Amino acid sequence: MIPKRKLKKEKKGAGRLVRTLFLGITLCLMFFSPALAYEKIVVLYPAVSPILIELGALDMIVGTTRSDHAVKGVVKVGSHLRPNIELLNALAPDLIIAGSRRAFPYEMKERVKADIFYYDPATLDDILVKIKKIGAMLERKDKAENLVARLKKRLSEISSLPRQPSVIYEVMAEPLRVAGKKSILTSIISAAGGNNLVSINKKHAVISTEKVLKLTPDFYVYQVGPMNKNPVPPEERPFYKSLKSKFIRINELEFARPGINAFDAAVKLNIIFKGAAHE
Amino acid sequence: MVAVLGNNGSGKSTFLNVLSGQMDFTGDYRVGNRKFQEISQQECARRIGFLPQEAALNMPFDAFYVVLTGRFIHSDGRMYSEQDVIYTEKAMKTFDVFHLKDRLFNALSGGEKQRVLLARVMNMDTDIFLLDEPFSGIDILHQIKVVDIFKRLQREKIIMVVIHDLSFAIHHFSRFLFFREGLLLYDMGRNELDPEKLSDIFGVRVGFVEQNKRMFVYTEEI
Amino acid sequence: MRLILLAALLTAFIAAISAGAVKIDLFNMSEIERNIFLDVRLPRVVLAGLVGAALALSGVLFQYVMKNPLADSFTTGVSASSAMGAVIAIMLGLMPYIPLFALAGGLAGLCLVSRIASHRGRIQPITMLLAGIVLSTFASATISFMKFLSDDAVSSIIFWLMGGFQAATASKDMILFAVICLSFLMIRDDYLKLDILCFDDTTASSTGVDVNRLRKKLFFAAALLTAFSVGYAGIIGFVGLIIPHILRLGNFVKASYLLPASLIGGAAFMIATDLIARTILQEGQELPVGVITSSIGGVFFLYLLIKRRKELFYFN
Repeated sequence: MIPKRKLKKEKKGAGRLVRTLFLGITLCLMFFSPALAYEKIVVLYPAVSPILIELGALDMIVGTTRSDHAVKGVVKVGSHLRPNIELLNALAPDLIIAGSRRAFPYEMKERVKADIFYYDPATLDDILVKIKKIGAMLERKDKAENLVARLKKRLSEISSLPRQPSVIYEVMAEPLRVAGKKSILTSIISAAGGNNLVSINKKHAVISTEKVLKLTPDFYVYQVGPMNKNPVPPEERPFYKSLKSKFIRINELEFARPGINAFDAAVKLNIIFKGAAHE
Repeated sequence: MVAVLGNNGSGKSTFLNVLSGQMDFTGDYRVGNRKFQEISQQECARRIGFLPQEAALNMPFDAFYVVLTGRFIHSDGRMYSEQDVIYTEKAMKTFDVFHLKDRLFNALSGGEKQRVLLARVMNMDTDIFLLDEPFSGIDILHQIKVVDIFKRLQREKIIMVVIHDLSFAIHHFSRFLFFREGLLLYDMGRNELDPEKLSDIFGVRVGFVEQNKRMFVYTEEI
Repeated sequence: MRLILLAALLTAFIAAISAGAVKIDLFNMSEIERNIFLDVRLPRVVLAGLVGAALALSGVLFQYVMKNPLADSFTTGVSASSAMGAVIAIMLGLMPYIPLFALAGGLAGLCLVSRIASHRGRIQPITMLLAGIVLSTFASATISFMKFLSDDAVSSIIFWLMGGFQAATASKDMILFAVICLSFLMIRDDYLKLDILCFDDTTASSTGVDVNRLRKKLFFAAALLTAFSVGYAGIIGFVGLIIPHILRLGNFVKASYLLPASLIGGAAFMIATDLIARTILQEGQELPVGVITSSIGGVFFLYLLIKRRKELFYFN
């Protein structure tokens, strides 16, 4: 797919027939010969690194963002929102794995020679699909299949609940932001047997505390981490005085990143739900 | 009534600023037999009314209220009394600006503003008035009216006025202070004035002519 | 005119308590609805009103201090330095202490600006304005730097800075109310002096007003109001600027009218904008209130500027 797209683009820059032909041939060669698969990868989305490690591709990673703690001893190219283009180019990667299109927009794409792969899954299934894609791109299909099977098995540990609990997931306390429909968290919650009461068609939504009281979820899950540093525990917030929900504190890094960890998170959440159901 | 004269930058305004307590100074100066430094700002405002050369207002007050604020020191600090309003009306009528009372101060012409400000200072009802160029911008009719008011007041009050029009000053005032280069050079009565000294002070040849028993001052080409 | 203002406040208040993300029938509330009403909506509407009042009053006071109709908590740097304090708290993960940090930042800014602007014990408005703008720029740069440092917390800083009344509680309401009362008591007896302060300094002080002392007092009161507002509700722009302006155009020019009117007007305006912020989107979503104040406020202000240029012309 990717080399083809590049071919088209080069054709558009008309007039330089020779160069286009030459490039086209090179790209075709790359496409057909396993020896020319991707070798140098820059990961701009930390949740991807553990996947690459599982695929045995740790050696290929030449650069990460500075908040990526899974990979040690490689060049840090800045933040995921503002990577340093000079550093990127100096590393001369052939593949860059970025988060959303917004985090790595077209103007930036123009300025690096590498191919870009957008890793932006919204559901657990989507994560599996992306893993397979990455596996194919890196010529590691078997390992990818293997990983997918393991993750699926992990999900099968989830046991069914007597009743589907309702959940609100607090992303940030002040102002109150909760996980919406497009968030990976909604998928994690439903995999764990729950139901995210917030159906707003966004990743995160700023909502009124009135609405939370009105919805009265069984579980009020709040994350603690970089997005929500040291929030006042909900049970101590005066406006939640009358809220009967069970308050669950979880670690943002385990939950809110759409990677391998998301499957463990689903299992963990399921255990919490189950524990509460037994009470 | 004292006229303060001198060229630009000769120290007239500084002198008035010091006398009114708007500027620090060294030395000694007494008001009513008390050292000036011992007099509080409030008391100072009660005894000395000061009209600075350039007044500015950055709020759209009407002329009446501008004059009324002159009564501040006599009010209880929270509200102006009926008495203050009566005084204000009187002051405005005296200076022929009562018809302007509902107009915005900042919308008035230069001369009208000056008369309103004069009414404001007079409204302070102090014993001493220090007025820095009170006639600037005022038409000749009102200049005469204003100086007549001063003359009526001079029995009870000390009025010190910075002025540039020599003929006008000589005709209406009785005592003169002359400044040059930051120094008070002369303190003279009307009879002591002579063209030699004036020429020296102003740096231009000055001569006197008398006509209809009035003294006029003329200047020669440089 | 005063009656119109009071009526506006009352209307805004009633509209604000009867509408919201959740529909509540005020005369027939279920238990949940009563909880929502008492624990969430009422404290929030009250906080919005109080913050509006505090910001408008602080704006007026800053304008007296600076002798400049453009002065407000932004141009004096107090707002930005309070925000800087708050952002430091967010960075350190000390969310419950945001108001405290905001207060500390605001007061530090106040001290710095008044220190720079005083010369021989006198405060000079122009120097103060310049110092304020420099401080504002510096504080904004620091905030940007902190945003940069805390990649993941960046959106929490951005959203916090946009302002809002979500975290309203009865105790915050009471503290802010006390602060407003305190600053109002501080200046209640100075109405006539404030009017005289609108003249040039020489005229004012020869009339018997201790210009410097008054300025310091006003500045302190205004900074206090700003710091608490920022601490509780983030940065909400424009209120301190437009409310006093609109009131002055509506002929509230004497301090004895302008000050109480700005309290009422600020409260009414803020309650109304917060009502819009929390009801304009569906499914209980909210907009940051600062967005609304700046957009509605800005447009309305522009209208007034064009429509009433003449009056403004005579301001100076």
